[in-house]
Amino acid sequence: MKRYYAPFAAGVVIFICCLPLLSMFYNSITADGTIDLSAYREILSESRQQTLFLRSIFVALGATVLASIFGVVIGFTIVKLKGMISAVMEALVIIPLVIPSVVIAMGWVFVLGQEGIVKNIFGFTVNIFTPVGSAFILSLCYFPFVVVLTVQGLRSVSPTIVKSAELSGTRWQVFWFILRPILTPYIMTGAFLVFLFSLSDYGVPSVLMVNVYPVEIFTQLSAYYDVKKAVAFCLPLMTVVAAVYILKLLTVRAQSFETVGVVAKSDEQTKKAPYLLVIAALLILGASVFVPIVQLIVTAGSFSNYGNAIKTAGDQIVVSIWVSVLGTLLMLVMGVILSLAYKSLGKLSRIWCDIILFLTLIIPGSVIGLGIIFLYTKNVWPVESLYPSAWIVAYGSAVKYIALIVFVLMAEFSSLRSGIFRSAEISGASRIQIFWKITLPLVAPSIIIAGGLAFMLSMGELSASVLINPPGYMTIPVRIASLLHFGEDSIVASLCIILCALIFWMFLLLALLLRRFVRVRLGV
Amino acid sequence: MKKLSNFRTKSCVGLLGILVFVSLSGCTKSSSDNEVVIYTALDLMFSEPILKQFELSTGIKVKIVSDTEAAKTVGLVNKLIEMKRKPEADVFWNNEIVRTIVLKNKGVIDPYVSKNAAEIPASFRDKDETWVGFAARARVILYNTNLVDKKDAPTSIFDLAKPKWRGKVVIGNPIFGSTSTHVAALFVVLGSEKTMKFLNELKANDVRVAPGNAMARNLVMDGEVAICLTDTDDANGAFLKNKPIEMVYPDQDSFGTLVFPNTISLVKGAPHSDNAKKLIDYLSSVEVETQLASSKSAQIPLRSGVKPYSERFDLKTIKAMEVEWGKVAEMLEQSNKFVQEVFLR
Repeated sequence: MKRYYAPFAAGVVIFICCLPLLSMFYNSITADGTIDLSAYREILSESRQQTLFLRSIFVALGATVLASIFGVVIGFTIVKLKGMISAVMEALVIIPLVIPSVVIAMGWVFVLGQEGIVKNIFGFTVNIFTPVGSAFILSLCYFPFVVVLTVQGLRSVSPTIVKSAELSGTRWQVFWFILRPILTPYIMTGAFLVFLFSLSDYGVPSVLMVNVYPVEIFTQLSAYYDVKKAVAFCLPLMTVVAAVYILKLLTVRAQSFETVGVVAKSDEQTKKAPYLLVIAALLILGASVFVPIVQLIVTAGSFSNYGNAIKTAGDQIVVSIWVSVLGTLLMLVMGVILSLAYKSLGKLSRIWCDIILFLTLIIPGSVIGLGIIFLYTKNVWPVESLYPSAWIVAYGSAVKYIALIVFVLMAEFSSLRSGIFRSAEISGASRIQIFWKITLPLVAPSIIIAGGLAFMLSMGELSASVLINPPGYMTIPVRIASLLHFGEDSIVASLCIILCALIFWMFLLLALLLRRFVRVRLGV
Repeated sequence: MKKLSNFRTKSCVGLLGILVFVSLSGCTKSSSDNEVVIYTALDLMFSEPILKQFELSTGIKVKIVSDTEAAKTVGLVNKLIEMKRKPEADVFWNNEIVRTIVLKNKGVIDPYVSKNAAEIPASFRDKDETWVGFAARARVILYNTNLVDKKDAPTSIFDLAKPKWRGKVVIGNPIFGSTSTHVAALFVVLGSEKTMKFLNELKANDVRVAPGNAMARNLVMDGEVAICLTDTDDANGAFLKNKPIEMVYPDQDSFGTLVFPNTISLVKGAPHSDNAKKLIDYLSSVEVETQLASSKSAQIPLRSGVKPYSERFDLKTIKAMEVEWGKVAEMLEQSNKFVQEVFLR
C-alpha cells in the first residue's frame, strides 16, 4: 500500500465508524445552530458525580482484577493439560461471552437467593446487590478475554528458552524472569478488554441495581429522553478509557496489537498441571459456565419448549443469522482495510487510531443507535442509503465492535514482514497476485477467528438493535428481552440455549475451516 | 502449494458466492402502499396475534417494531422523537399512557377519532383526540402467602413504610415504567410534600429496588422477598404458575389505586395514514379489548360490556385513582428527579 493510501483508508473507515458518535456529540454541544454546553455544565455541577465516578471505576477495576486472576488460572490450566480435556476447556471458556450478561446476572440472583443452590446446600444466602457483587458477576462474564490471551502468550513462549533457564534456575525464577515478562503484555491486554467491557456493561449493574455510568446514561434516555445529557455522561467514560490506554502504553512496553497471535509450539503442555491449579480452574469454570448453563437448561424444561421457542421466534432467528452474516462481512472488510492501513501508519497515528477505536467500544449501544437514527433523519450517507434494510443493523454492530475485530486482525497483520512482499514485487508479481498468493494465506487464520467473533457479537447485540431495527427486522436478543417481562422463563431459557447453539455451530464450522486451512498451509 | 491454492480458490469462490447473495438480499428496502408500520410497546406475545388477525382480515401487511419492557421503552419513544422529521411509523401502540402524552407534548402524534372509541370512558380518552385508551392494568400489592398472613397483609401503599415490613418490600425501579407513573400520579393526587415524605419513609424502611416489576414479582414469587408493588399483568403471571401469592388493590378506602390503559395513537406524518386509521379502528374495537382481557396478561377492560379475565380483574370492583393524565406527564420529570435522588444515587 502506497504511503499516502494508508492514512486515507484508515481515516475513511474510522470516519464511517465514528459518524454516529460524532453526530451525537455535535448534537450534544449545539442548540439551534449555536454552541451550547449546558448538558456538560449540568453534569459537572451535580454533587453525585464523584460517587458515580468512583463507583463505576471500582466496579470495573474489581471485575478486571478478579477476571485477571480467573483468566490466568484457567489459561495456565488449559496449556498444562493435554489433549481433549484442554480443548474442551478452551471451547467452554467462550460460553460466558455468548450468554447475555443480564441472563448470567439473573441466574446468580436466584442461585444465591432463598431457593437457590447455595441456600439449599450451605444454608445461607448472599446479597449480591452491591458493587462488589456486580464486579464479581462482571468478572465471570468477561474473564474469557484474559484466558484467550494468556493461552496465546503461553503458547508463544519458546521451549528452548524455558529449558535453558531450567538448567540453572528454580521453577519460581523461570516464572519470574522468563514467563512473567513475556506474559505481562498479553495479560494486561486481556485485563484492558475486561476493564472496557465492564465499564460499559449495562446488563449486570442494572439487574443488581448498582448505579454506574451505563445505567445513568440509560436513565437519561429512558426516564428523561435527554439525549444531550446521555451523551455528556459518556465523557467521563471516554476520559477514563483514554487514560487507561495511555497508562497501558507506558507500563507495557510491548505493543498490545503486535504481541498477540505469534504462535510458537511450546512444550509447556507436556508438564503435568498441579492439582490445585486444576481444581481452581474447574471451580471458576463451574461458576462461570455450568451455573448459567444448568440454570438455563433447568428453566428451559422439556424439549417441547425448544419447539415452542422456535415457533415463537422462528422469524427472529432467521433475521438474526442474516444480519449477523452481514455484520460479520462488514466488520471484516472494514477491519482488513484498517489493519492493512495500520501497518503503514506512524506510531503516533496508530495510538490516535487505537484511542478512537476503543472509544467506540465504550459508548453505549443506545447512544450509537440514536446517532444512526439522527443521521438517517438528516439524510447523511451511508446511513440514509442503508436504512431501512438489514444492512443498517449490521452497520450498528460494526460501529460498536469494529475495535475488537481490528484488535484480532492486527495480531496477524502486524507479523507480516515487508521483505516477502518486496521479493514478490521484484519477481514481477502484481498487487492482486501478491494479495491472493501471499497476504491472504498468511492472514486467513486471523480473518476466520475475527469472523467468528464478529458473528458472535452481532448475534448477541441488543442495545443498538432495539433502536435501529427497521420494521420487519427484529433480532433474537430483542425478542428475548421482550419475553423476559412476562416471565416466559422456559421460552427465554430455550432461546438463550438456541442462541448459544447457533454461535457454537458457527464456531465449530470456523474451527474446522481453520484447522483444514492450517493443515493445508503446513502441507500436512 | 498447488494444494493450498486449490483449497483457497474453492473456499474463496464458495464464500464469495454466498456473501454476494446475502449482501444483495440485505439491500432490500421493501415498502408498499398496502402495509402499515406499527411501533408497539406491548409484549409481542399479546400484540402479535392481534396484529396477525388484522393482517388476515384486511390483507394489509403489518410491519411490527417492538420495544421491550425490559428496555423500559427507551427504544420506541426515543426513536419516535428522533424520527419526528422523517417518520417511518404509522401507529404507536403503547402499553401505558404517560409516555404517549410525552410524545403528544413533543408533537410526535396527530389527532384521530376512531369510530370505535366512543364506548371508552371519557377519562381514558384524550380531549384533543391524540390518543385513546383501552385494556388497562392496575397497580397492586403482591405478597407471598408463605411469608405474610392474609389478615396481616398491607392494604395501603403507606403500610409498606411501616417498621413491620422493614426490609421485606421490593419495588420496581421507580424512575422507569409503571412504577414511575405511579409515583408521578401520587405527586399529583397527594401533593409533593406528602409523597416525598412517604418515599423517604419507604427508603428508610429498607425497601429493595429491583430493575423492573417483573423482577420484583419474581422475588416475591420465589420467596426471596415478602411483598412487592407491581402491576396486575405481572401478578396474573404469578397466579398462572400456581405460586403461593395473593394480591391486594391498595388504598381502596381512600384515594384508590392507579389504573392505566394501553394507548393507541396516529403518528404525525404517517407514511400510510389510511391504513393506520384502519388499524387504529381495529385496535380500539370491542373484539381486541375482549381478546386482551382474556389473555394471560388479564388486561382490565374499560368498556362495561367486556368480560374480564376473572372477577379479580373487573374494573367495577376496583377503586381507581382519579388523575389528570396531562398533569401526571408534566410531573414525571420532577418526580423522577426526586426518586433518583432518594433511591438511586
